[in-house]
Amino acid sequence: MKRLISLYIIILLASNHLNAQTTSFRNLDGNQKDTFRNNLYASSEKINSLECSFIQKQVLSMLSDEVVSKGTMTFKKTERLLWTYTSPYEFVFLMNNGRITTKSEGKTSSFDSGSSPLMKELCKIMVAGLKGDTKSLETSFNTKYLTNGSQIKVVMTPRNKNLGSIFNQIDLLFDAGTFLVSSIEMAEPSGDKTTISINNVKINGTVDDKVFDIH
Amino acid sequence: MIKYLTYISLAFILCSCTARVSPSRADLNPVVAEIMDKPMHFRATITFGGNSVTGLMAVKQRSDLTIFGSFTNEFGVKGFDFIYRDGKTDLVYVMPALNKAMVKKILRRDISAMSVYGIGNIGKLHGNGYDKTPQIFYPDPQLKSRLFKDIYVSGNSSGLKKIIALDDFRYKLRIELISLLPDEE
Repeated sequence: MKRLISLYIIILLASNHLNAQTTSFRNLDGNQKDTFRNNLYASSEKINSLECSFIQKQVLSMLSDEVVSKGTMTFKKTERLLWTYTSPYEFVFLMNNGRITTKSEGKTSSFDSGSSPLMKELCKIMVAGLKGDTKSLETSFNTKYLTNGSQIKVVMTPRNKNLGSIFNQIDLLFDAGTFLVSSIEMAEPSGDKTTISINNVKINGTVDDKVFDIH
Repeated sequence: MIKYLTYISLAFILCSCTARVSPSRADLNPVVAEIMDKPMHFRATITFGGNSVTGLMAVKQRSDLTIFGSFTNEFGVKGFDFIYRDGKTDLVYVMPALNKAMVKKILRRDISAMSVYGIGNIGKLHGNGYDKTPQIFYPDPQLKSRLFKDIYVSGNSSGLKKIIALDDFRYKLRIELISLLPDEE
């Protein structure tokens, strides 16, 4: 009898655990969704500059492998984004007034963002994600808002075929209290998944324009 | 009878002395101990004409000697996935910008050459010194029949890093792989 009770308790706990996992995020709809969306947008409008560090984990499905990269990001109005990788090797990416500049192994190359639609779109997603301006992404993505109480997850699926051939889905995770982004997860059609965890966020600090001078 | 036996013996001797004409199946599926247990990561630069694309290449070998590889850019966006076996490369996934018949044809040829002669010879690079002169892995002077025309594959080391390069002169394409050190990974 004791064994049966123990077994019953174990099954009950296990089912509760599973239930908690599947129902941790619930849909935000109607007024709740609009309120969060508007608050997030209002908060993003106040961001003039943003600095953070990040850890990028990339799962390569075919090789059952994980690649970890680290670095920093600096954003300054309007639309200037410096993306610096420090590990596994140094790589600098800068989006500045419609021009993309990369620096790798001391070599710098610069080109118009229009010649690389993928990078342009990726920058748009990163800037919107960092700021919390999900409204600006709604022309390119269908968005769904979910919450678990402390966090809000914005699930975005591409509206057009071109973007859909690169991303299956992009999830932005925000703190429900501060409206700051904590992670950006990109799922690709190849089965790979890249998660960028954002840490040490500093809003509206003094960012010298010289930071964006890459030679 | 003795005459026939002499001819047969002579034929055997001649065959055994003949230089290798074409790579054998075993040559085309090298055992690469360095990527057997876990994937090896490289910083990759692909230069085509005047343009360069950089990213990360991960390669791994399965026990049946098939080599798997993935090329992604720094932001994690996949460029292509490949499977190499028996001198042939299958492109499992190619990003839309590269998904063109001509590009895929060049990629298949160059990845095959890189897999068998570049990655396949990585064990020959000790990676504990500075080799000023790269070792030429392909074309192999022993092979009279060449599988890949206008392709050179070489390797050298810089400190602990192993460097493999493929130059495809026909299409002015260069693939350079520089191994990442464990502390970088």
